Amino acid sequence: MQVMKSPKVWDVVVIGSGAGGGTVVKVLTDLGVEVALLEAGGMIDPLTDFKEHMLPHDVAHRGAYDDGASYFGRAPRGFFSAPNGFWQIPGEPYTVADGSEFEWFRSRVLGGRTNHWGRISLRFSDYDFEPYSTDGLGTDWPISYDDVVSYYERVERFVGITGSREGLRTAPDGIFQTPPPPKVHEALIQKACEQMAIPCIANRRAVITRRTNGRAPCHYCGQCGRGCITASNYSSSNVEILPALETGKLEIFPGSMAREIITDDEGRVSAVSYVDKATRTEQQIRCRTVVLAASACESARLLLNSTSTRFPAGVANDSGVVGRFLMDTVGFELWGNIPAMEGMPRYNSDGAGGAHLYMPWWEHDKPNKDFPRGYHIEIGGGFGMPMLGSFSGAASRQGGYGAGLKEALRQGWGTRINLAGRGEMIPNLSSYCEIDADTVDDWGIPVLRFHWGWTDYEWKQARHMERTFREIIERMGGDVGGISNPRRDGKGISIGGSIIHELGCVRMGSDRRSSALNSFSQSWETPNLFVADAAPFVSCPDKNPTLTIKALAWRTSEYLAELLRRGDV
Amino acid sequence: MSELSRREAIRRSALSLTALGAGALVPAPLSRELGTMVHAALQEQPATSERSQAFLEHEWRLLRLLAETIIPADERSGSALEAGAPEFIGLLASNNDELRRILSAGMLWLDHESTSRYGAVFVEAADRDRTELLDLLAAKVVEEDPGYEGIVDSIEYAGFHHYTTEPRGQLGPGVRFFSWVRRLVVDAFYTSPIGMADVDYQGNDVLRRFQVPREPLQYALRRSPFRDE
Repeated sequence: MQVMKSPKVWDVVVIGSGAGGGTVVKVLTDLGVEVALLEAGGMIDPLTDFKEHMLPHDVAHRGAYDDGASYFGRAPRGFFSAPNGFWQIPGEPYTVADGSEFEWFRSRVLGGRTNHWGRISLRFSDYDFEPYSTDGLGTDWPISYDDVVSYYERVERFVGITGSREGLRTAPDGIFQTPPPPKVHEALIQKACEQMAIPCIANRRAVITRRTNGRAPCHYCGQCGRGCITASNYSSSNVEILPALETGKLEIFPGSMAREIITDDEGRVSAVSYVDKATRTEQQIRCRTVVLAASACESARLLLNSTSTRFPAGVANDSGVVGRFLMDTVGFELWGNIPAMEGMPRYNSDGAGGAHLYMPWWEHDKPNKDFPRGYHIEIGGGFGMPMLGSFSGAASRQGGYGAGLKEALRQGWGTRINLAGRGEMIPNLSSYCEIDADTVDDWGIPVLRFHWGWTDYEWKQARHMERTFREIIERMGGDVGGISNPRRDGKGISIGGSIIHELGCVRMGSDRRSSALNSFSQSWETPNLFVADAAPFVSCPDKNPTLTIKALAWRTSEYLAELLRRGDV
Repeated sequence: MSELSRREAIRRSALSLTALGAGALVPAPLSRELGTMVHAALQEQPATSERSQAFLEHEWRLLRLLAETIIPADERSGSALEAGAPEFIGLLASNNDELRRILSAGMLWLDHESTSRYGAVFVEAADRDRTELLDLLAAKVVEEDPGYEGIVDSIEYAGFHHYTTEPRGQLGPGVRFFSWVRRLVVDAFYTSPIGMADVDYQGNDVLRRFQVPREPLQYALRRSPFRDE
């Protein structure tokens, strides 16, 4: 059968609908540009798909699935979670090289991972754009904080971010809405941090506390990870893409798995080929420009799979860097039991669905550290919704059964806190992805093979986290329970990819020999190809990437719209 | 109320809270009423006590006894039996052969051990004999940490990995069996309306404003090393 080509030539085809794709769709349709959006997964209906007001006993299996899959590690991500994907997707494998460990969380639904993400929205610092100049490691970005700051502001105004102005260089202030007050365990943690001279400040999250651009403020149900029927937190599906449909400028192609970027004789993109999952046929959609926002690794995969005589190593890859410098956040977590909270009077501790405080990095100016860069600390605790696993772990640790166990679980509920370090990884030559031509997915598309290696930089950072967290817990009069990052290797550090901050692989730069994209995330060789996810990232600062993905995507979109207006692409 | 219409009601209410505008006083009963309505709707759970097809009559009796023994009724709340733990376990086991075999084999082990020691299967053994045997099986088990359950990102998968108890020796199979049953019974109890009321879970509400009451804060500070600050 012949590949079907669309009769229409779209101004812009966007591939992927997460934080990057959502931003591109919003900015371009606002500017009157017609956009076709390819999404590998299905559509989403917040009203039926988001289960934020369900309790576990609403279903007989309580969230385990009828066959108890969650007890055997076979469940998709979680019955009550936003529809989202998982570490393994049936029919869409990836491979990992011998000696490496890597986990790849993918999402196949409109909005991608923004339907469930933690909503933590941190600006990069000025020094984050100049890592090489700061300490001689890694590579400088081709842009500076000043190039991005107005886009941070645009994103913050549009999305709505809570926070407080602190004047810290390691945590630049943004445009903030009023943050919710600290919960009880957070107030205790803050006291310990005061003694240790660690700043413990209002968290910065994309959950609105006042009416913003027609969206209702948070109603404090505490279940952001399940999606939000009132669109009070940011997901690209709810906040950008579904509203953009109403402009009449957007057409969504769900169930469309991008396969290859088609280029013409001049090396310019002329179309995108994709597999229509419903009909299991290959189609081509013609376009003047394309924006890749499929996630760092999927965008790299797509480019590497787009080989031709002109581009034997893949489109936008004359430099050979596509797939290289894959990074993920360094993760290490410790939990502790705080006896001061035993038997504490109950209260509704849900708040805005995540931590209300966090600790930005505090040793940026300290000389003679034994590792480069730094990390921030995220907090967990409180009286969360009782779910499968919420009490059974404590029951095992407690031991016994009967009335004594029941009373102990009652007294002990809410005494547990979690401290999660989220730190900067230095890009290295051992961590990358490439095409595994021997393995294809259910759509016949060659998959990625991952290589991963932490170095001493990350190990030493994780040890610093452990010492710090232990001291915080002990200053609270608590006992350290153990390491608690769920997906960790033998030494306790997170497995590569498991913090779900994969970034890099199609990096931007000021030199076309060592980068795939220029400072506007535009391909050096193929000027009508842009990348708007985390793939252009040059380094992996200790700030969660979503806000910067969005700021850079906004910047790229305006640049692209201007080129279209001038007829320059 | 159906799930969809209930959520639509919540959405409309949440939107109406905002429609009143910043600074407008929202009558408190609005959110309380909605919360009550939501949670009442959730408790309309059909009570079933029918034996699960996964288990034979004597297995079902044993499972019910274990559920009641692990989380008994007390002055504050009912038992795991009343909370539907056997039905929950039966549902999963009837769709999962691996789980059914773990439980059935464990029950045979328990009855054999009980018969060897006391001359009667577990449900017919004397109270003190049952206690003696379970005490051997329910000792504190050192196991790899199952992960924190409260972080949004890991709320559901965290609890289900790394249960690598490896008790050795003659009692090993019984310890592992009891560990499975306790986990399932505890999970069933605390996710039920009875269990949630037992620990006084107050969340998943619809609020105009989030505030932290003084009482728990004072309570924790008073008992903490920061009491004198």
